[in-house]
Amino acid sequence: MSRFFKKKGVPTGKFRLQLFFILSLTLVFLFPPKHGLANGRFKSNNVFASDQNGFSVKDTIKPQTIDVAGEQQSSRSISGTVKDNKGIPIPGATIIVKGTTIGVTTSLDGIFTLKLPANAKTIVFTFVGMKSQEIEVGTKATFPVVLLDETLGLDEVVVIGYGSLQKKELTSSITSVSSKDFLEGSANNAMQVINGKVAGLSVSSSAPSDPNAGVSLQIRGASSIKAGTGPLVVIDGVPGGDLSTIVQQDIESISVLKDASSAAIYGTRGANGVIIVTTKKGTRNADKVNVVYDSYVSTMTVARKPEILSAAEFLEKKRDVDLGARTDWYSELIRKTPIENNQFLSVSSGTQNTSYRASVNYRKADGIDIASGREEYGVRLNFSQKALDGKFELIGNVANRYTKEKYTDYGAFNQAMQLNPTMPVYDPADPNKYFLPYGYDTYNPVAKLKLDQNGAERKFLNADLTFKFNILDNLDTQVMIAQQTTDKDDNIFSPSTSAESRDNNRRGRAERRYEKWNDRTFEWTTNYSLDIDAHKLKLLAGYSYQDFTNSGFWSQNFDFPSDALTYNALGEGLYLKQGKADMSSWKGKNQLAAVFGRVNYSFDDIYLFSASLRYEGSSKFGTNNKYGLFPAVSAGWRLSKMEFMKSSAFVNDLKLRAGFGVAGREGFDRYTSPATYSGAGRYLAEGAWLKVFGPANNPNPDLKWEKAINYNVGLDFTLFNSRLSGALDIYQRMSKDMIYNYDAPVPPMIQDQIWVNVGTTQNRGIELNLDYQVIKKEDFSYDINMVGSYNKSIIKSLSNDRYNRPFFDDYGLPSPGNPGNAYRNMEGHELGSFYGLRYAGLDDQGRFLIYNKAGEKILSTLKTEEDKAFIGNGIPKLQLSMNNIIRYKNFDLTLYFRGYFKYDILNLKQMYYGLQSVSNVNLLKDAFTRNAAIKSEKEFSDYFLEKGDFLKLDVVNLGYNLDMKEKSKYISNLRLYFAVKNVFTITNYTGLDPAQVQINGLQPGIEDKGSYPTVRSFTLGLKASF
Amino acid sequence: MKRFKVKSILSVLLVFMLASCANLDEELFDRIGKETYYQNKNAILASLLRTYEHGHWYSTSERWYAQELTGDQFVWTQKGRHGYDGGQWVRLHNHTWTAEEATLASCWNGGFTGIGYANNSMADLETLDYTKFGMTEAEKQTHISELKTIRSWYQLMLLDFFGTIPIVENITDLKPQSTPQENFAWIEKEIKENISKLPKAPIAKYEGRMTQGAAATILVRLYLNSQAYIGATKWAECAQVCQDILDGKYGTYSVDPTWYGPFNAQNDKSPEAIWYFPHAKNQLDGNFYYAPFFHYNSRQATGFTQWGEWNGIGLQPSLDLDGKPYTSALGRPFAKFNDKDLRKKPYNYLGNGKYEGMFVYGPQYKRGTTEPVLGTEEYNGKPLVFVDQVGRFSEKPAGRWLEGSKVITGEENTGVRWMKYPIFPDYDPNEMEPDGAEMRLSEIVYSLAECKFRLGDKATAATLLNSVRVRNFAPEDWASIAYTADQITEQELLDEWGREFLGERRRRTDLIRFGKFTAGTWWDKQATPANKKFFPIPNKALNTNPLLKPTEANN
Repeated sequence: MSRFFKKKGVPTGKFRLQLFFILSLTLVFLFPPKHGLANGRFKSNNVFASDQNGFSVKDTIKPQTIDVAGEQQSSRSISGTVKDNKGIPIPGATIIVKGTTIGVTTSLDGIFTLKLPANAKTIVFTFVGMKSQEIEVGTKATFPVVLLDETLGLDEVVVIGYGSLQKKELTSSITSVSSKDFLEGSANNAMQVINGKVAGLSVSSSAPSDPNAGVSLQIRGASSIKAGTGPLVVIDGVPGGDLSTIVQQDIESISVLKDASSAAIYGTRGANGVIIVTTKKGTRNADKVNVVYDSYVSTMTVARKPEILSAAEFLEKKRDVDLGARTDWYSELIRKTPIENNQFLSVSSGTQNTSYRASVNYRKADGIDIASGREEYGVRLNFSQKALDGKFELIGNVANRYTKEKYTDYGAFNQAMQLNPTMPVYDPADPNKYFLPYGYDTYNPVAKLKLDQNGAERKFLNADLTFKFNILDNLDTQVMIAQQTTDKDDNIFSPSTSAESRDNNRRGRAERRYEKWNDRTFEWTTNYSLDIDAHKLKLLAGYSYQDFTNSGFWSQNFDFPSDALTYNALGEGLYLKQGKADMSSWKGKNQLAAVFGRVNYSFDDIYLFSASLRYEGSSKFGTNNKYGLFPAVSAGWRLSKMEFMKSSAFVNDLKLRAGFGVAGREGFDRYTSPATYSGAGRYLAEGAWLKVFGPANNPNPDLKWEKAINYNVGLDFTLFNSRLSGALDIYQRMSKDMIYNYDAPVPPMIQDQIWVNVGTTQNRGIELNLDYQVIKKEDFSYDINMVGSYNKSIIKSLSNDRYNRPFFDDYGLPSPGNPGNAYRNMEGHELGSFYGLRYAGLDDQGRFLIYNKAGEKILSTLKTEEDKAFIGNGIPKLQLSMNNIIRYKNFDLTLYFRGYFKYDILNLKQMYYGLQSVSNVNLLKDAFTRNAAIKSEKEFSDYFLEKGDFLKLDVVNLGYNLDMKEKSKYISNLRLYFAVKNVFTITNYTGLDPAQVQINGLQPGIEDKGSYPTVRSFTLGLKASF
Repeated sequence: MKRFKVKSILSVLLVFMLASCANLDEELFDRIGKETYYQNKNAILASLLRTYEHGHWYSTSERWYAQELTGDQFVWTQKGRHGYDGGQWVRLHNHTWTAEEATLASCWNGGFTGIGYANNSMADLETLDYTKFGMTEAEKQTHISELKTIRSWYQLMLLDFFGTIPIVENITDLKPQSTPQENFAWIEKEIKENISKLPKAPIAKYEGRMTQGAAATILVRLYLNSQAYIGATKWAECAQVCQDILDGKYGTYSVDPTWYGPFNAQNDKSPEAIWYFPHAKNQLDGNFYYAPFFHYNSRQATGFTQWGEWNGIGLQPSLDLDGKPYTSALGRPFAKFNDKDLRKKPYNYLGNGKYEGMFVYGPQYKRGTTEPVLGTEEYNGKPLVFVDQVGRFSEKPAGRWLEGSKVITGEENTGVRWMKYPIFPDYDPNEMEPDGAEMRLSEIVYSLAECKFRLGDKATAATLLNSVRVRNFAPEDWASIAYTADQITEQELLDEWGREFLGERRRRTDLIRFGKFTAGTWWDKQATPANKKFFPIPNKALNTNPLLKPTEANN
């Protein structure tokens, strides 16, 4: 370390000038989306040199001699070869004189010759999939250049909160996935393209084949009860983004900030991690207009359905009466050939001072069921314009999207399982009408899906503008204003012919609901960087204000003169005249305000240090605790740069890092802390009916953020001639002051719940990312990417000195029977723990036996509360995935496996439809096979818990790439691919698809009674660049 | 130098922080802040009535379950795959509840929430200048007295449920429990201090609200059951208040001449109505008197489709599995009605708001036809016939039939259904009109009769009971049915309470007063320990207020 102090930079006059400049401005600083920070370099003799490299800069290899300024070169030729790190020549690589359009491409042997203009200083080498390289020309005449594969590059730029760093500079746990590593194929949500790619990020959807279904995201396990478990999403620097506004083809990279040493810069919203999505941009100094066409068509089939009794078996088992028909209800609900059509086109280009990219996409997707569908289209525009000699820059993004959504009813699949298979679809008396049965929880699902209309139209309009002032070469300040709006118009209509109308003796029901959301952002950030010898310093300071408003209107009416009106003539319904129509409207708003700063310092790229601080307030917090302070520090040590390791034959890079940070959560409802009055029912007041009003809540002026205290230790490594690289992280996240809707002391309080900060959860885990180039030859390569994460979430405490509670139960098991709660969340136990009876076999009459508290076998009907125990857990402890990419000549093959391990799934299908004692309804075949001996009613016991462990070949993708540069004047590259998703699953689990069981949040590991179908999809895609 | 620079920048940052603390008070749009709520007279009334509306809810959910499903008349049987509901109905019937029981925790919370609303409104109203809202100081005092009276009503119910409870007079201070004696004295004092400030019936303006008659009825309930609360009887005091009410001291009331008068669509006009929860279509629902009791297809019989059905609660059975009558002293409520009793006819709507009978049993027919209503579960596709028995008849002679007649062995058609408040077909002008009786004069007559009986005056007791009972029978049958003094026994008195007030959420209290609640046995219920007389203090309450102590009932 003594070196560190000895080599302190020598302040110069210019330095003082800058210091003065900064202080006198009192404005401060900030960052550029993905440049600037990494590039700012103090040049003592040319302070005001304009930055001409702009967006094209990815990294810089500095020559040994820095000072080339002022040296005039005469016009001359240079030549060289471009090879990859295996020594294989790269044909078609582009060499451009920086700041000009003068350039050449390499020959088949990777050779180039270039005539330099007189003022040429730097030449830029680029090739697709490789890191670009800039070399200052100096006086050399030959340039042997080695381009490195981009994925393994330590100089790769990684987007972090409010800035970017080179991968080698990272000191916290951040995983970045760039677009070329996305999973190809049909995806409902942009995040499905990185499902399983990031250790510790869990992407879960209980209906991935429903084109309108969202996904749930969770980083490093759930650790909050009421303040949200999902990460903050930041799209192009705007915090609080909505992933459904973005399509996968527009995404350049996704950075996942997993620990608080990186996420604390987002303050009250960083505790669940942050996902930063960066969209593709136009390139400055582009030699042409880049056009990309990227589209696919896709279809799907049911991968697995519940095995229920056929009509013949149903009758043979005397389940119920023969109603005459033979109906396969499940098949009736399935669309025969659902098609998804996804079209995308983008255009981008740029000149010295301008760049832009525009994209348009159209998508139409059928659901696997006969009702759901989605149609959407959107445009996205990004532009940047420099002015005033590069001192001023205007950067903007505008995205507009329109969707039309048709919803299904998941309950229909529950009906399909339990309905009498001899019941007809159509009324035998009138085949033009659906047959509508009576009875508890019994309806014709085909009629429901066909007759009812349930859909929405949505409009998204997101825009942001950044005004950036490059005050100095290494100092800039920028203001961003952004607005994100969403409008949603729901339309629901149930006609007079529906069972609902018949049962309630009315002629139709129609609903309209119009809701809008408006999020506004103002951020002012300033960024300063300084390089002196081996010292690199980067400073960031900023101010942020956001507000979030939503409002809506809803109305419902009944009894329409004609079904033809559907939901379009709400006023025509009779209920309005009778005073029974319903209407409501609502509005709410919350705000966030923060100041923040960060220091990054590195010495000789060996010792790395980062510290950040955010001071942030939320309007949702109580008046006594509006603001919170969120600090973070982290440090890294690149061992491989030390003398003792430099000679190592197999270590290319090795970095040890450790971080600490405190981040917050504020994801609870607005208006929970102040005292408000709200209306309840009506009562007679002096002969007239009056809506009564009273306290809506128990106010809590002390309510504050929930904080997550994170420790993270990690190791980044690149080994064996850069063939093996990866990261290992060990973390602990303690979430304290958990915001929870706690039992209030009644009396004296009025409401039985109060929002308070009580309790602690602890998440601990290990994550490993491995990239291994198994084979790397000219025509053949094989890469493996492995991701593994182990996490355990424990409730440390649910009490404090004022509020104490040993446990809370969750997930009331559904009717019929309502057998109680499935989970008990209790101090000292893991989140997501199932709490129920312990199965002890059957008696000779086929009745359930259970173990009582004392461990004796008793009849389950004699059970008491005391006999219940912790019987399992629904959160996978271990999540693994492995991606295999094999390339042979123009072909590539991706085999992507993933799996969850060490957890239980409560199989409600077995519990509700797997026992003969359930009367009348249709059952799983299991009732007469594996459960044949059971004659008694269901009991919530571990009999119905199964190991969920599975391994799935999730994606197979075969691609063919064609370099068209030689063959066509216009087309430069073509890619054709065929992808299959959900190829096969290896598991002992007897339900449908364990991967389709929700494992995020607080109710993990329950397979619903009537899950939406699990599907296998087939995608044919074409990508062409022009 | 570098350190200096970092410092400078940090200090600039600090300046920013101090300057930039935006106003983060929450902006309200679709709700009202406490500070700005009181704008006019209606706002005052809406606040005052909050606790009433809550009282209605309280009385038609947990309070009803706690009073009736623990007694010997009603039961929520499991019906095949439906109605097990985590075993809660079994525990209520068998008195095996714990301090975790959700229904009982709701009894505690619901009662004290009502008190909280009253305390909150009281505190608010006391600070208001009524003259600014076009009202008088006297009205304000009436409002305060009204709130204190309804608070006493809640307090008495809680005392009856839990035995040892805190007295709370604001919404902020945690309080320990007061002794039963302190509670008793506090309720007595509150009523006596406020009764004279309340309006006196008849006063239409106060329909559904606290009047002198209602306050006096609270006192009658307190005295009648004092043995359970403080271990001492107050028969004479009770009799005095009853007599005062009957004499018109607290307003003008008289016994309704018909049995259905207190329950029909115009029951708010019944002369015996002291305090009813007002119901009207689309205003305040009385759907509780329908939903838990009726079968999913009952709508075909009634022609009423506006509320859902849960097919839950029925009368406890009078007949065993073989169809033979049970002979226990308690329970078998349907059999306890004389066959000549007009109320025992099957419910039948005759049109124009007229109907007969208050039970639904036997075969069910689609309204206005002879076409049977069909079952959907055990009797899927077969006629639905409500029976006065509980058992798995559909599995006879094997399967769960062998488990006998238990809370858990019901079927979809199990149990005679209770329809004290008539259900009218859709769009009938009387639809959803019957108000919910909370206090009616018959209670005062029966209470006085019991006091007379306890004090040895059986003859007066018989006369008093007959004065109500006469309306239940055809004139030609009455002579053989009227009580004579000798017929008045404890058992008969308890049975008669059960008949007249069937389903009026007082059975548990009556059984306790007669010493039968824990020691008594009926149908599936065995004798239970004496500490089951009160409900345990819910763990929820103990956990949230360290000043509260478990009682004997928690053991």
